[in-house]
Amino acid sequence: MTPIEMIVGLFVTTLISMVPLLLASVGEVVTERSGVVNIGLEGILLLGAFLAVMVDEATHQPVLGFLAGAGIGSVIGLVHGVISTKLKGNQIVNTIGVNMFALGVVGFGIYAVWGVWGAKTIPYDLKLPHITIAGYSLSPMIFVALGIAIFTWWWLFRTPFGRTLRAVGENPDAADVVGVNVDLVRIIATIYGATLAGIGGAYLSIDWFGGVTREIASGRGWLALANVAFSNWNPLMAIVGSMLFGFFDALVLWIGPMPEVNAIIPQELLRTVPYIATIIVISGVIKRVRPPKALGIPYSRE
Amino acid sequence: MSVIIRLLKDKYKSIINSIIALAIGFIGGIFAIYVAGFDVGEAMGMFWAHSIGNPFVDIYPLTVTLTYSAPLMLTGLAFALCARAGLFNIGVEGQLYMGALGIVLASSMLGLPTGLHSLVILGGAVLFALAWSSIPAILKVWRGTNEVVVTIMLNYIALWTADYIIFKFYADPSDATKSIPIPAYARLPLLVEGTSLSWNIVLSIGVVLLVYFFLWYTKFGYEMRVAGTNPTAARYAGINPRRAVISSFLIGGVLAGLAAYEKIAGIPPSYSVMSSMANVVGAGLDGIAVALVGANHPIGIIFASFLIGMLSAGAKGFNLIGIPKEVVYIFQGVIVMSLAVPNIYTLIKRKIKGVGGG
Repeated sequence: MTPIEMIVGLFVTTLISMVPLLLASVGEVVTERSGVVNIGLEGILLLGAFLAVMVDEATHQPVLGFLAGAGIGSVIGLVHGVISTKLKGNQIVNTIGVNMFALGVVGFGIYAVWGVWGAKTIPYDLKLPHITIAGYSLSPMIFVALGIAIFTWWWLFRTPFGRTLRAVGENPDAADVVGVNVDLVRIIATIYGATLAGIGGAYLSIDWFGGVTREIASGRGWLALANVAFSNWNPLMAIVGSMLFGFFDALVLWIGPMPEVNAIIPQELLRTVPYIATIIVISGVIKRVRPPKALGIPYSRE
Repeated sequence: MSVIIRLLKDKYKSIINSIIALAIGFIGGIFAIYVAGFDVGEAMGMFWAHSIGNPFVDIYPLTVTLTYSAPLMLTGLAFALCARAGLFNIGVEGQLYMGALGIVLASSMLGLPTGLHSLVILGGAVLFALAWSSIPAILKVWRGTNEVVVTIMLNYIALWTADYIIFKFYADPSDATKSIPIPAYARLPLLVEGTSLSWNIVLSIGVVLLVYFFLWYTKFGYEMRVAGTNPTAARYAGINPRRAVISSFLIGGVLAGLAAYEKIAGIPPSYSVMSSMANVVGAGLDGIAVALVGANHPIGIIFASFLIGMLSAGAKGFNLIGIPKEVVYIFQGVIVMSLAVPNIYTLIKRKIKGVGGG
């Protein structure tokens, strides 16, 4: 393998790892910009991955699998949105619950639906068809995710609704005074975020890994959450962050199995690299970023 | 007893909230079992038989529940202390893994006098967990880094690191699926012979009561509670909120270390760490549910740990008739989501009145 091939190979793996991180973090940027925090991304990835396999297997239509992932994401988003606004619930506690619930549904569901323990794999022809560019087979989802990120940036920063959404997250009182329905905007933003995470989950199972396990998300929802802060709540910066976090993920997948690497550092310890990198990155940037002012606080009219 | 009565009077609302959340959680879990096509009656029968049974005839199922409850009391309290200081400490799970690593490393130091060696093993558990919990505390105070993300990352790092070190260097020579065992003299003795219930439960209740006393009857504990409920007021009163961050994480770390010690030194028959940390995994996560059901109150946590311990024990019953034990996380998830809604009791009451009154 030539050095050029290695670099291109690592870049392609980075793009593959980037997709779920990018979808989940761009969605969470929108949710948090409206003032709602959702730490249930990990659970939504899991649920999306699980449901996508179910629907894909039943219909033989990977696209419907993706729609199923989006569907379960939007249901969770709706529930979390309503609890965070109308019911004035604790957003962190509720989404801790979402993560537990997802762990239960997927751990239990894989056996209940397919009668297998731990892992359900799907045949190759049920995976989303890839396109070939310069000899590399690439998922169309790479471009879809990048497109969604750019669209979301435009939506947030160049449209009247985007301005309203950001105002709701910064100063809900002022938005309310000018007649904005604060709760409704927040519910829409929460559904949007969770839907993208659900699509990211579908990507994990019916595009990337070709199956679903309890461990399939393996912290990607949390990396996405870290990336939201890293990106300073900006969808375009989230692309940079997802590439960065995706690179560490890819690095482990790429060099992990190489014997010459394992001679120096065992694969088990190599697996901790993305997590260590995340702690360093967010500890490094956190002081120069600023979260939306009303983040995590339910709005009530005085 | 008077403590409990006062708690009932003061906190009756949060107790009713917890009971309603538990009920909703059980409805959710049972619904999942039903949808998946299992016999609900048989499943819940097995659940009861393996978690409570008939204690007058056979105390064994109850001792299984209590065996699970004991470490959960400590992990729940660790989460609750941080929650009272306004922090979400999801890192108890990783601190348990590091505590387990400390125990195994200390257990390998044979040749010490038995009494000293037992202390070293307990100290290893506490120090390793404490070191791990100091990382998010330092980053929070020094850099303002969000503790949720840091503690989750540390959980993954701890799992891979501790599992690798234990099974690469300290696997049991006769059985590679286990670590070297903790020596017999460093184990917690059984409370009821022929069961798995050891002095764990006594240790846990003692520690919870101690923390209760500390929080409610010392100046330092009072300052910690104020710093969490109202940081601005705390600052005016000359209380340093940073001190509350550091001390709640550190006490949490000690509690996590003790929980790891109970998990390994206080539960027969293995008295060692199983591969992939199988006999430690989940106690930190379950602790979050315990703390929330117990309304972050030490006395509430004692009762909540019993209920969540019951779920873990009952899961074994589920497993025997082919229902994966992960189903208990559906119960727990729905319970926690219901607890996120404040005053769910008032809400339901208003709804019922709204319907009845037209």
